[in-house]
Amino acid sequence: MPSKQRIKRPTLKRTAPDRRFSGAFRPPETGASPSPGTPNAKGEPKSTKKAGVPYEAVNGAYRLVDEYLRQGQKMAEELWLPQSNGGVPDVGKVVERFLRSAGDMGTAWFEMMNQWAAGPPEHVAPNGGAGPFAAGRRAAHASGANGAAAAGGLSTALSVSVESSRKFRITVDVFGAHSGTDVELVALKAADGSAALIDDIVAERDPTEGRITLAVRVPKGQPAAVYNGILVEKRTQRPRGTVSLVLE
Amino acid sequence: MSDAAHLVREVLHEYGGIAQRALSRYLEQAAENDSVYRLASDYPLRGGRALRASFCIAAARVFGAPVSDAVESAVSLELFHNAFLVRDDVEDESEERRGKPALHVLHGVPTAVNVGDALTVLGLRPLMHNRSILGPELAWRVLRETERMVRESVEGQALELKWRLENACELTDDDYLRMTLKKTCWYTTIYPSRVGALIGLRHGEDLDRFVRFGFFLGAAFQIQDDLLNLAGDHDRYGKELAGDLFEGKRTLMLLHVFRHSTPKERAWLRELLGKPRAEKTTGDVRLLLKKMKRCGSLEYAKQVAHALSGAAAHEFKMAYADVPDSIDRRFIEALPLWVLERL
Repeated sequence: MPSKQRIKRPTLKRTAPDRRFSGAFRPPETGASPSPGTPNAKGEPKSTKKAGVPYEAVNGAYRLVDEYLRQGQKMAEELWLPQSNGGVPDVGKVVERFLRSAGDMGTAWFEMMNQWAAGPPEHVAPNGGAGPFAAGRRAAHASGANGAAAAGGLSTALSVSVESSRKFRITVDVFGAHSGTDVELVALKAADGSAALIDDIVAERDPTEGRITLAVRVPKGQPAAVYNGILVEKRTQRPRGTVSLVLE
Repeated sequence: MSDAAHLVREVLHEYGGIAQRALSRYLEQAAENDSVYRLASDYPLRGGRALRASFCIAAARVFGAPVSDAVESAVSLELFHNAFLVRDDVEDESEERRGKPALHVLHGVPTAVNVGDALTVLGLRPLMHNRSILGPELAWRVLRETERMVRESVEGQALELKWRLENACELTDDDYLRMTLKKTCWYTTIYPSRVGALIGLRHGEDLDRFVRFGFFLGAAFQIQDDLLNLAGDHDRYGKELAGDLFEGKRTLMLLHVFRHSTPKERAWLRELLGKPRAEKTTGDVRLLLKKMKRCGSLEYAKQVAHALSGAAAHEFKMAYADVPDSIDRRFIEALPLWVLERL
């Protein structure tokens, strides 16, 4: 009786998942002839090689751009320049950026003061609330007691309402936020540190319109002062604006 | 025309018009003082789609910025773009641009080089005006992005010139894409998307997410441009047909035909590419084009362009994942398909 040859497992084409981008486009690896391409003159099906060539080009392109980005990151780390966002955020850099933004605001404030000295400024009629606010623009002032909701006319998504027994004026400045940004206002702090925090602030988001309303309730007996707070983007914890409430 | 192409055309018309009017003001103001700026107006006023300017504005609008915040950066980009065109035409010895003789053909190379410099200098002016519109910090960041964009473009052009000088023929597709990333993609698609996001978001975090999208989109755009040079409609294309073959420009098609040639054919091709433009005959160029078609080089490049366009569409979803729907978002989303359909 002839001895049987031991059946051996065939060598597999791969032993791990193929997660390359080209896999999204590559024709299925079956034993049958691939469908793309017409048969040649002899009626034989075209080889897969031609169909795979552009996908290899895309694969190569991905390798190229990923290597390019890695080199950029490496250079940024070596030079300690904020050219790339790879790695752990540097808190010192964040603070530095915020101070620069504050410096910009100071410059803008002086420029605005100069303009106002030259002539009457524009006003939006106050109605006790403030908002919605467009990213990058200074908000209209608003004043009153028991402030109502937004002054309309703008098309972005933040309103601030104030409930207060004292007369007040509120100014909101927003930067770096767009209609999808989720922001919060943690507390309003007296500029001279003399009074308690105003931290009864509730944020509500309208799921259909995407509008955020910040409802600020000023406690009874809260002293007259200027109270300031920072609008912070929830996702990144970066500053996206300021709120200044003057209680009279 | 597909819906995508229709939408892109409309947005290009709107934003391109805004950018063109703002650009004309800069040129008119400058031309009052010096004749070099009157010559500098030639290329910008010949028309063009203002794709880069429109993309810059849309990329800012998509993140909530008003048009006025992005116009200066868009105009600056158009001025740099025209400066690059003047320079490229001199370096490539091109004969036509936008349906008319190239600037150096009309006024000589020294004048054309000087006009290119004038356009570059003019390109800085809108960036300075950004300071009062965007604030000093953001204006500075836009300027840094601009420096990078110009540097990448210059380095990409240097690479292409080096290939021509050395008569480099055995280049890979990776080489071509690396050059295209620097020379074309940075200023056509990467910079507009990055600067638009910078202006819209007011911060520079996470701008690298636009590099992949911009690269694939720009590469598909460039390959399609190279194909149109060989097979497009002259009246709509605006440059001389097959001009790239006369110039010996290293395109995907040229690299492909070289790879698929016999040693004898490669020697012929190498000799042809080594000749100056004036010494290449129409017969040589026709023969080269015929060989490209026979080897399937045009078809190959077309397939690569389509694949890269698909990659761009995929990367769009990553880069603009958290952006709400708008005309501007749909415009950017339509670009990967439009670059293949445009004429």
